[in-house]
Amino acid sequence: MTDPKTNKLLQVTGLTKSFGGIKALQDMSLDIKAGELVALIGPNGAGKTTFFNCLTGMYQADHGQVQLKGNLLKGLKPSEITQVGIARTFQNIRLFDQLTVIENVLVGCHASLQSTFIDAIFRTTRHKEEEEEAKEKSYQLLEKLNLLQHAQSKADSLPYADQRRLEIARALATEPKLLLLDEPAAGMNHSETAELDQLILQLKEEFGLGILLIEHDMKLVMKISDRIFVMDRGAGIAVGTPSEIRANKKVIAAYLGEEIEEDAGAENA
Amino acid sequence: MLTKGMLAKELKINLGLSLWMVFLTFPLVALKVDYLDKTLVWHLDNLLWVALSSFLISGVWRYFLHHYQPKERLNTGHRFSFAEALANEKAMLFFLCLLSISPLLTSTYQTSILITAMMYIALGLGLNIVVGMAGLLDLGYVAFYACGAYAYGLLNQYYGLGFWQVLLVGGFMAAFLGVILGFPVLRLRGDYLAIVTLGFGEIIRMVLENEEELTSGPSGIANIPKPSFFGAELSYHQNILFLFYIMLAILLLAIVITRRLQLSRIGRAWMAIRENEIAAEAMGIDLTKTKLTAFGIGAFWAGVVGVVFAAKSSFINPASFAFHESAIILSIVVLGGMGSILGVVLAALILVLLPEYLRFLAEYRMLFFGAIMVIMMVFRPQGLISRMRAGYDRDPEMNAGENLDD
Repeated sequence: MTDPKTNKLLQVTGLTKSFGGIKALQDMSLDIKAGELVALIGPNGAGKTTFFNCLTGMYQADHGQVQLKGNLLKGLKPSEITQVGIARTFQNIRLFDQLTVIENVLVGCHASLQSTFIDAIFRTTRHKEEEEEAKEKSYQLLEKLNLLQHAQSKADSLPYADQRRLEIARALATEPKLLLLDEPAAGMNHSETAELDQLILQLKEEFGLGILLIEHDMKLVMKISDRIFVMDRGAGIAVGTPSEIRANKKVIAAYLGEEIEEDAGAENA
Repeated sequence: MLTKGMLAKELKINLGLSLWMVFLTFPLVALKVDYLDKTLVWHLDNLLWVALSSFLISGVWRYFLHHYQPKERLNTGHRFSFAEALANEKAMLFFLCLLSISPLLTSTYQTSILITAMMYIALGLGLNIVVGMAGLLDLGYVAFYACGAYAYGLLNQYYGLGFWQVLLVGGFMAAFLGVILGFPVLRLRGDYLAIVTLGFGEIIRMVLENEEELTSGPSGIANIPKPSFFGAELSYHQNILFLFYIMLAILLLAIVITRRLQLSRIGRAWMAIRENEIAAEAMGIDLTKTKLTAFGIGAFWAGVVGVVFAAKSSFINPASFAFHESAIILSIVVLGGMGSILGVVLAALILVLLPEYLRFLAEYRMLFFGAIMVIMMVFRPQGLISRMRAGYDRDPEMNAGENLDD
């Protein structure tokens, strides 16, 4: 049923999810091309994070389907979806606090390693080579995300902005095709946010990733997005380029009739 | 350093503490009933001793509290130099040599205590995988220990199988049981998991007690043979000696394997699950497989040690596998420091050897034992040895690879 010509990395059609009487998602449809950065914005409680959770298999959607590179993702566990190529970061940081930074990234390599516990016990060549490769890959990721000097620190000892970057490094270690970033700039100051937008663009270029970004910092969103998708009350209300969205009446109305303004650091559910 | 004002304040606190101790122990220490004369005898001199000793002890304690404040943790990964001093290869080798010749230097009784200590180290290592690394609080670990012991007892009784034939079989049976237990509790965490595993441990014990036709119930299985040594007849002393070296070999194997697993993708997955299950799953870690592996491998060691236990004591009954045992093994893991192999070794030695060597204190033995536990937890709530850096340095030469160090 897929059309290879469209070159769509992710295609979501008619995704619906309700919790009891509350319709968290209603007939959401969205697509992302490889190498495209799409921002997902909307007022608090619009269902953005629920949408992420449905994409990553943490929730099972009631209706609708998600396709990654034309393959239907249905009934897959979160770990399997990661293995297929969707990685995510979390709105409330979920690092492995007591592990070191390099160990955090190495955990991200888990799915790409093959060795079993038998290999580990006997230290087979396969195990040794894999470990060496994973270590080198992890160090390269840390280098890219400017975390190299913290490699041996415990994850919870990092400054806040570094913890957010470590989440991205860890997600990249799973070798994703699509990266979901849930408010990566939340709680960052202006200079840190400025660094972050450079970094996101750089990652998009370098890995050819599709990126879906939830963010409240409109300056960041307007600056780096190729397209913006606006949600309100569980449904998509507009999609377009940043300049189109800026002029969209519906979007302005959704944000309480005001002009879209900076809303950085707001925590929504 | 202490100023005069501080000194006065400290003295006041200590004085207060000792008076409090006198008040608390007054009825126990100062009053004695003379049953023959039916009179009350006052022992006020005892109170003086209580006051003096508690004054001194609290003084020493507070001195150490002041001087060993936990220092600001540096971000270098070097956290606890004592542990690293112990963990260096030469020290390890030295202790290993000392341990391996110790039965030749000491009595059979001492050797037997050392075997018990090593058994508990291995049990601690097994539970450390489940609780310390994977963070799955298992209060029914003793069930797997029982499984190993009864596997040997029963297979020997009914089929005449020997120690060497059952050693691995017992381990694998326990591992299988671990996986079976793992399935229903996959979705449980923390307290709920603890309750279910506690129940599981009790179920196994109850089954052993009540299936009298199979297990002879509470009267247990007797005359379980010791391991054979190429068919040679061994004296009691030689038997213990042989068992000592068997257990030493099992222990070394357990340490090396646990260490290797900890440094592999499986070990990292266990620790990731402990730290954050949701994030671990988002990293592509299959929770089901990873948790079951932890339960299985953890239970395997309990099974193997269970076989050794049956061989060592040559008599087993369900009473040996009460909840008390699970609690001790869990204390070993917690006291040692969750996830630390060296910590488990030290804690098991302390918890097994201390009650043995405190026997001269007679009825106060357990009191002292408890006090020592409390003091240790006050000074090192994170356990004796918090997990040291796992390595993964970039320069391959820096990574000394596998040792026994943790």
